[in-house]
Amino acid sequence: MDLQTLIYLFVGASFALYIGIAIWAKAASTKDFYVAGGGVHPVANGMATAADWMSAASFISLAGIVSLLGRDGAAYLMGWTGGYVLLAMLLAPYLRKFGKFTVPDFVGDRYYSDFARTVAVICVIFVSFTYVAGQMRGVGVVFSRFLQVDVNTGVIIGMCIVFFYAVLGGMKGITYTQVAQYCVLIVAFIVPAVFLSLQVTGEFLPQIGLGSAIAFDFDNGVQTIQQGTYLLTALDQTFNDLGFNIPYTEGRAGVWNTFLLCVALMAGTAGLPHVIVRFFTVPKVRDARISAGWALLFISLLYTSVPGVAAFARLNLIKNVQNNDYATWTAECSAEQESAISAMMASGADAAREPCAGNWFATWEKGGLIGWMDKNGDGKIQFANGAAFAGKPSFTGETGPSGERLMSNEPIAAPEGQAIENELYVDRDIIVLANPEIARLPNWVIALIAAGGLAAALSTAAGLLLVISASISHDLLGRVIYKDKETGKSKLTDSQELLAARGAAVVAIIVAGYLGINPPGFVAQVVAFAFGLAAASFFPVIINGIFDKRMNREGAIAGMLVGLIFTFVYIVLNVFVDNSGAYEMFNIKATGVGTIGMALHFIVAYVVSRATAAPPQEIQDMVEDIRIPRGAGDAHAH
Amino acid sequence: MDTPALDLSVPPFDLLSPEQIKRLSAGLHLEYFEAGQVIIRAGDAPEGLYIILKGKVEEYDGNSVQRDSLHLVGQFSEGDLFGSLPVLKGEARDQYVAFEESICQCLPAHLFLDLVHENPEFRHYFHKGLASMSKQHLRAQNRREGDDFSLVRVGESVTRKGLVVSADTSIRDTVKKMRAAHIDSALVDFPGEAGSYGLVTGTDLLNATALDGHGPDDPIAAFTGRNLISVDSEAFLFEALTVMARYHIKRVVVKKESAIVGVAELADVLGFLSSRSHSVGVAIEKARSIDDLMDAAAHLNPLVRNLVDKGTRIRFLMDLLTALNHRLVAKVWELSVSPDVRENTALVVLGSEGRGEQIVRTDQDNCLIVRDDFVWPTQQADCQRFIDRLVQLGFPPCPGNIMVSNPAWVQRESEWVETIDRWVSGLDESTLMNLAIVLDGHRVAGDAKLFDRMGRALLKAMTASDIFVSHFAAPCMHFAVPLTLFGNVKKEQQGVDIKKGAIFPLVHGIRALALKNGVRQNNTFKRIQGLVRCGGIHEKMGRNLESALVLFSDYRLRSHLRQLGASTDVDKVNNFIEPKRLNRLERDLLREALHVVKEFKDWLEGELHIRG
Repeated sequence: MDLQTLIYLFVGASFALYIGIAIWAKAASTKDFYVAGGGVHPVANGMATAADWMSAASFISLAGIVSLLGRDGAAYLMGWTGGYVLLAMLLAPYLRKFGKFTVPDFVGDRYYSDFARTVAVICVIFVSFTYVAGQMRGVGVVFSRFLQVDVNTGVIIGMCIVFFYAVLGGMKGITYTQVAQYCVLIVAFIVPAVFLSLQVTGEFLPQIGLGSAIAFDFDNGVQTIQQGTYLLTALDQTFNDLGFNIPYTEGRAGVWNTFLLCVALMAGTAGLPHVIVRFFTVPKVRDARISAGWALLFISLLYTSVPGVAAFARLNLIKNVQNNDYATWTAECSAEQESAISAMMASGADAAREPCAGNWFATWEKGGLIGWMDKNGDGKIQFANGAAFAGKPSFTGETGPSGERLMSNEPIAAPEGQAIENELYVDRDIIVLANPEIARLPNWVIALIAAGGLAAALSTAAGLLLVISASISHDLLGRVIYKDKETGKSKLTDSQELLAARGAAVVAIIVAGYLGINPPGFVAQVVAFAFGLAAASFFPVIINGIFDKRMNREGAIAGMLVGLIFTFVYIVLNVFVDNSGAYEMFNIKATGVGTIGMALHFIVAYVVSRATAAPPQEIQDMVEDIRIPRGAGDAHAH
Repeated sequence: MDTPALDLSVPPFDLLSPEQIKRLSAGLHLEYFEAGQVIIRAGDAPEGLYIILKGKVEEYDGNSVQRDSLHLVGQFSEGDLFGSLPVLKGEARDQYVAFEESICQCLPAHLFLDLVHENPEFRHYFHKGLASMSKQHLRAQNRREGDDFSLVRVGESVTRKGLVVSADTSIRDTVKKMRAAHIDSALVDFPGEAGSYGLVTGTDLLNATALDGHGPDDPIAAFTGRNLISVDSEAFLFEALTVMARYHIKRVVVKKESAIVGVAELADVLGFLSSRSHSVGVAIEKARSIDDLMDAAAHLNPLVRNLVDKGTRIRFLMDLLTALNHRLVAKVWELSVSPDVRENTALVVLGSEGRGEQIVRTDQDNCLIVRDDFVWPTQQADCQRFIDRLVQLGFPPCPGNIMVSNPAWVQRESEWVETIDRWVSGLDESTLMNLAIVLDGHRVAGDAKLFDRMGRALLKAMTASDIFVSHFAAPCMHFAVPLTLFGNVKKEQQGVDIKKGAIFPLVHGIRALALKNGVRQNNTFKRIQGLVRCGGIHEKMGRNLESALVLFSDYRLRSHLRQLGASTDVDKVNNFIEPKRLNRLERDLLREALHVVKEFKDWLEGELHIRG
């Protein structure tokens, strides 16, 4: 079966699976009337949490970012994993005991202020919007490859699919759908990872493959690195040869910025609203803890494979692309060529550089996610340090002498003294998706990864859209704008509220789609901004709410405003206005600025709260109470 | 003429014997009506009853026809049968008019009456069918016939505006005033004590002058009774009667929200005495032994059937039966345990019985709160005796053993508080249900303060956390509403499980919402009203849910009664409604009501953050 058919099949089958489960779950009639929590096993709930957690950013972009940034990318790995632990250990148990579902409800009640609640609602909406934008870009990339369309068209198709899936289909929050999504995404990630590990190092586990030696002689275009060299050594050597100034295993961001990014990601993740809710879906506290443990295991399955996958991808890209003749390599395969390649692969030989083996290049080129500009006119692809040309590819619609799509972009010359001039543009978000194709893995593995990428994006997008629409319709409209002064309840009817919720979801998708088409960074970076904002707003306000009983309304509001505005302005200045670093203070990168915002938040909140009246006694008692374990038979203190 | 044939294999004709079918077929004749033609004229004796083969017929309220302001009360279409009520009554109250060109089979009145007379099942079908043509129809009927006596409230029937005299009025003047007002009692106003009234009766005045030596000019204050016995104006007549029987008095003061609105006299109440519900109520009150109660209880199910046949509104039925059942349980308790046990405990009925939504007694759930320091050596024996007697009286035992004969459901006050906390923190299948039924609890006997304290502990434990409320509400989503993808009622072999698909999600969802909004009621209708008042649900949804619940309860009651008709074995009673037994209008109403439940569930899912 050819690749395209297989992709249709896998993506179609996975969708059918989710929809089937949703219908089954809706229609299933339990025998008894009262069954707590629908009887979801902690392991299943752990998987569902992991699916909520691992977004398109984790699946599609994380390995890409590590692959491109090398060691600097580790900040994302550590930050996200650490954030999960922080959330599971430090926040979720107390929030659960406080008894409120959403961060705005917690903030509103803990700080006895509707204004504080409103600020928190705005933060939630803002953070979720940014995060959804990251998902939409991921969905767009998948659809671009899957339907062989331009990436922008892919985003628009993705918008429609997410709309039907999450808004109209009511797929939100069905645990078993998410279990299925986790299974699809983890299989889709691990299977290619194992194949690649075997191919590059001969080791079965990618976690071990990362530290092993390469299984073949590797020609990087400048020199041939001998079989048996350690993978990371080979990469470092190659980086050196190709003019990447800093070896793969060394960071260029510096300790300071890596630290800031890492902390911002941790604190930001811990405050993400759609994941917090997951911790409340199990009725028993004990089961909730067990679920959280399982979720950590399921998340780590993917996260620990990422460094290996990233390294294999980088090596494969250089090995299989460097100095290939574009015309013959990317040509449409004839039947004989096809069978020749199949025969080579069957005998274990490396067929990736054979004529027509690079047909994937042409496919991705169609989506505008990869591009080649034959700057030296030799008809061969050269890949080295530096951008080949300015900006994203802008195709003229004509083809060059080798059959490549011509671009109107301004070429950029290689730095002085670099052995090879770079001619290649690779969108960083396609690393994971294109990796199996680059390595000539079997077609079904490639099809699988498309299904996995969609699963990751959909599960997270659905959860986030739910949060956004509920925050807007229920919290913002119902509890602030259309609040009935007498009863304190919403003046909206149920159908108006439902309509508002759907409308909010539509707006969210459209805004997210726009940001997906014009991304301010790539997926993982977009998401990092969401986390930076969350780190500067939610995390401190929750921590203060739980651990500082003297923290009052004034302190919380001042802290949130300062943290959010500072971080927001800094990110806008440094990413949207001028990304050359002209507005950077103390050389702090925009991605890590959430940590500074968080520190400012803590300081401002502390000072303001100490300068103003203490919170009411009942609030102070309540704060004491949520940190004391409640034994059987103890009286409840509020 | 090309007309579809009449299918005689469908209800109610399937109830007829072959011989009767034959006679029926022979007697039928076709009639044709033009649009707008009157088929049965209000006030006339109809020619027969009609089954529509083609076309549409509308039914207008007879009074409205006279007033010339047509009020539509029913609509009939192909396959529907109309005119049975006018034939049975001998006179049509409503006017039946062909809405469009219609062809009907006419079953002549004499033949129909013969069949009804001969065949009890056939007769029963028409009784029930009449009672439930549609909600509008039902309401119209109720309005016209005047409510059944048994359902009359004290306030709207026998309350007389009391004669009020000042406490310093002389006996002579009081008698004059009583004569003038044609009343045998007077409310006595004590000046300077706002809102404080006494009551003086003709007998009191007679005794005062004839026996106690008071002169006609003495003020009445000296012998005015100050200890007034009162009933609420919303109470049923029979309740007023039972109060009078209990205190051996001939009149009670009627209060509305603690303000006196008048006096109800025994003579007036007795004037209404024509329905069995009163006699049941009085019999329960007067019972001195379990045998007496057996006699009284034996009348309950026939009473229900009778009231249903008369088209009594379901809400009234629920209230009436709840009041009677609660009295019955309280009386059994009184006869089973000693007075000191009654003073030191509170007997609580749980679940649907507590909510007051059980009409046919399908099971019993009850529990007992015991004062912490009360020593009660015979507890087990007393409780067992009580339950045995309830079973004897036709309250089926609870299959889940939630009865005071099970020591787990008899706890001291402090134990209950601990138990509730344990249930709340370790939420699972059984504790969820326990909390739900306890939340519906209603005290029928014993110390009100004990029950009140437990109720408050329960609310405190259950409302501390939104997360708990969400998990508590989650079972609402376990059963799908029996609607197809296209919004029609699902056609399943057994019929529609109306409890799982509709009543349970509605009742439990409202229960959870009431909990979240602090509405302290235990009846679903009252909870809905409370929620609407406090803004917990929107008014329109509240109204829709009330109508839907009325409809489901009505259909379920009729199904239960039909199932009970054959046997008295309550284990066999199920909650399936067979759409094929409903006529078109009823099916439409069912579908609408199911949609109400579906919308409610969708909204609730977001409102309470319920996730699957």
